[in-house]
Amino acid sequence: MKKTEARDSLLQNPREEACTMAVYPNVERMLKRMSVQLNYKEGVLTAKLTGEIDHHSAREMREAIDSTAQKLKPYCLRLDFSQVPFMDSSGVGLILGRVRLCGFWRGRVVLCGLSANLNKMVELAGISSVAVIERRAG
Amino acid sequence: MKPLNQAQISFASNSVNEGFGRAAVAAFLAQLDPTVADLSDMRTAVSEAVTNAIVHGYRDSMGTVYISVKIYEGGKAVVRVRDRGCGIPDIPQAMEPLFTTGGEERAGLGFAVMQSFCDSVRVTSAVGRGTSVTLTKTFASKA
Repeated sequence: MKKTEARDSLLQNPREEACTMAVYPNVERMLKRMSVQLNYKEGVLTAKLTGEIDHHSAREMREAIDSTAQKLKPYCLRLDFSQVPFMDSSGVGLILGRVRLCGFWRGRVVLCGLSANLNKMVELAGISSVAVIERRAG
Repeated sequence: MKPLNQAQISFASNSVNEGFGRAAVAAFLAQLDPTVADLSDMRTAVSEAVTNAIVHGYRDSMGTVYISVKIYEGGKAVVRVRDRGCGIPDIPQAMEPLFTTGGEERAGLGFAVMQSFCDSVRVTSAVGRGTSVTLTKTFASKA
């Protein structure tokens, strides 16, 4: 596969196995810019989000999470915000949309890693009534 | 009252520019030596207004988003986000929390966030002509 073909293929299918693309340095850099890292263990799908969440970035995050979540139907979807420095109400839409999605198979959503300013947004939106918020101890 | 300083920026209504719009305003307001929380709040409010212009104002078209930011005596900042898009037919309804014309993934909280994070929000609009949202916030300088 030529380098440009590998890159184009990755852009169309961001969920291609990373190992097949690691050979090409350009593509490896692109993988590092991906805004969602997914991890599945014992029924819990953890989505580690990175970067600012606004209307623009939420779209890519939504697609990355949903395609895997719909296949696995985890009993718990954990959204990790520890690498998210900023979020506007599009992030609230992202969270509520995932709660709605997981509801189809009675899965629940847990939010963790919320900084003070993200927490302010979450409180304003009243999300604690539909998702569990994990707070760091201390 | 005359502004002590001001800036204007405008950009195409591409969603990728939402980050640029809020970053530009925050960069300009840094000269007020604001607290991290206050600047973060204003950044969020501007993000909401810019997103509204792009998602709703220019829903079926491409256009320009205009931002003007002015600083006055006493740390007062006035940010105006303007578009020449479709306009809002019923402003009070549009500003109701959870009301949205945007579909499933829109939370309908843009105006609620702006009102919560700023001292005041003024909205003027004309259907077919465009919308202007003015955010006012006074920043207390770090002691």
